[in-house]
Amino acid sequence: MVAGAGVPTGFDAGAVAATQTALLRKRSEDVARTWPRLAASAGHGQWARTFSAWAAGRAPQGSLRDGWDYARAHPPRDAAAARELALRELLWAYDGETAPRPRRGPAARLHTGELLLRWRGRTLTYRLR
Amino acid sequence: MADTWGIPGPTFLMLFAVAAAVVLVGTLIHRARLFAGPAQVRVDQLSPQHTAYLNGGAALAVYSSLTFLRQHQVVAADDTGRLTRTGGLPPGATPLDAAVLHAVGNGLRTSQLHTDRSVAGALDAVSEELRRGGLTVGPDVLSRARRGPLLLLALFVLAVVRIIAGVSNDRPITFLVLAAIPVGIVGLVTFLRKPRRTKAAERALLQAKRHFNHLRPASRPAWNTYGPAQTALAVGLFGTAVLWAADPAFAGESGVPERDDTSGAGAYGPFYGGSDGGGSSSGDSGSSSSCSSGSSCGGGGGCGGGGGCGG
Amino acid sequence: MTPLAGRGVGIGWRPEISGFVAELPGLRFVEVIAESLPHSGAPPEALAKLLASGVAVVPHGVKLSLGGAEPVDPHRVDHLAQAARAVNAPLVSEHIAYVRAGGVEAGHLLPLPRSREAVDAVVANVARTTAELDVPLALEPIAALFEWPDDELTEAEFLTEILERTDALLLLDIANVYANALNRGEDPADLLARLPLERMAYVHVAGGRLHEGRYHDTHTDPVPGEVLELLGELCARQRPPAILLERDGHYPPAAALRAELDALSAATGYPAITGTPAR
Repeated sequence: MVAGAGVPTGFDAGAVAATQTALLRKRSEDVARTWPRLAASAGHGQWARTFSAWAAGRAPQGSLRDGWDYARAHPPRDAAAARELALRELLWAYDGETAPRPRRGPAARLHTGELLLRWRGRTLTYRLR
Repeated sequence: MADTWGIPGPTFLMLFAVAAAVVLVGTLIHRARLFAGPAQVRVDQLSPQHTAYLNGGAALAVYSSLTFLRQHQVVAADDTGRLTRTGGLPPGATPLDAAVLHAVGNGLRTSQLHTDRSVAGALDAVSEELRRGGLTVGPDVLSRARRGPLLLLALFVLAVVRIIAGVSNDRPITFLVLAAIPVGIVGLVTFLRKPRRTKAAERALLQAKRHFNHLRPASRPAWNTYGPAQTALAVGLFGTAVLWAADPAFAGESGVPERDDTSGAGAYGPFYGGSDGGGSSSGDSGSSSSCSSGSSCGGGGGCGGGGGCGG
Repeated sequence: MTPLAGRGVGIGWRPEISGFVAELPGLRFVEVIAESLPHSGAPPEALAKLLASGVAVVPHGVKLSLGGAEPVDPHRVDHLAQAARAVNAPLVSEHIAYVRAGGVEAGHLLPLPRSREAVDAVVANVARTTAELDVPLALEPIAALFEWPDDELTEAEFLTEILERTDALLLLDIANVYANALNRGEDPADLLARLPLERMAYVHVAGGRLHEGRYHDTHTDPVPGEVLELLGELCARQRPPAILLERDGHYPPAAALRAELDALSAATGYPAITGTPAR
């Protein structure tokens, strides 16, 4: 049902569809909690609809991966959402297939005029301008 | 060979050491008293804006006020970043809130708010109240606190002069050099150190952060439940990341910088002095690590939001 | 003597509203999502403070998948047992539902077919769970928008049989009773009449909303008046030992949340926990 297979015979198709819609809405809310900027970048009140349209038929992978996959499929143009993604990419190695793993060791990235540092599993940010 | 200035080296060294020790101890005691602040500061004696000013300076106080007004839905921002006024002064507003709302009504941007005459006046008043309450260190106290360090520096200069004289007189100076260096360093450090907050204020801030731990952005507080005043307080304690969490669209449009948990003065940007470029740690690690193991994410809302749920 | 006797009105503890919960003067018990508690070590400081002031904390599992065809994950059972110990819980609760099948996580509680086979599966999983627990387990029937075709048992028969064969307590969600009855076109009082209400450990109340002709048990909307009325009817039959408000998002202003808690007190006759004098 969550992965988008057809409705087996004998079930009330309308009821199952309503459940699927509700499941997608809940999933979108979970993702919005983990990816607040990404969700906000969809525009006021638009996230549930936008995300659900993309997520329908995709098996849920947890809010971190769901949001990540969505962000990679729709690279955010919104500055705050792009920053959120950059910070996640800095801390976690995610291959798109398996659960993200924390990256080890220190690292530095430059993201639109901001220096992002990874140090002991946390991010430090410095605005350069 | 005559003693330098007619005083034998060991005698001078002894006198110097005693004088330095007396001045040093006196200075430390004097400064500890000056910077102590009142014995008791209760957490709830501080308004959100006073807390914000104390924690992050005038800029954070403005952001705290802006948050209070925004949570009351009386300010908005258009997509060019200009602030607009959408309502009257809410109940419980402070003079700073009134000034900020007035400045918003004049179509200022967030970064210009502090240039407004009435906002600057209200900020001065907050600053003055903090100083009078013994929470921040005023210029008069600071100049009194520098008397001790000045004496130490004077002793250091005296030692330097004696060392020079001793060298030209071909006398041993090693011990005097060793004694003078720490005196000079302590004198200089204490002279240059300008604590913004008194010890009492530091304690009160720490206590407030513990008491209002539930307002940390990391626990994704329900700002709607806590209300505008507590959200404004959370900005004061934990930085503008609070406004970004409570209302990302407004925070983005109004150009409020995102900073988490400031720990010192001046971290809030170009105005109101202080050193800029202070780092901030983004609260990213905590929230996502709990989600990393496959789908076991979101311990908070295990249920709800859907039809098939029955939590 | 049920574990929560006399605990009155409680609320689901969530980090998002922990400051609000901490300020409720008459609070005697809360529920916490079991999966959100650390596997070892002390509970969060805010919960520890509640415990120290005599508030009972009930771990409420949402991911055990007791209704799954496969045996429950021993790690999850162990976690539930650890959580119960960590908060010195008088009991724990879980759902009669499944949340994963064939390795896919639904992220949601899904209904079981009401068959003898499903009863056997639940009973076996409950036995595996209670073997590790030091405290009683309460089972909560869920709200479902859809049903499996060819159910052999009625909901009351299904639940009664599970409770009888497992010795578990009943965690009745009155909003679920309302939702299921409304969505199936039945009378909710019928179900109340057929359930073993004397097995109630406590009762859940949550908000929801009608959407396209179906009632959704969202936990993010206000509690409808009809649900409060049904709660009154339940109390007329058998007053539950304790009652808990569940809210999982879109948290309203504190005054609205307090009003909902007071409405629960008014409907059940338990003392108000918000400090506002009873009307």
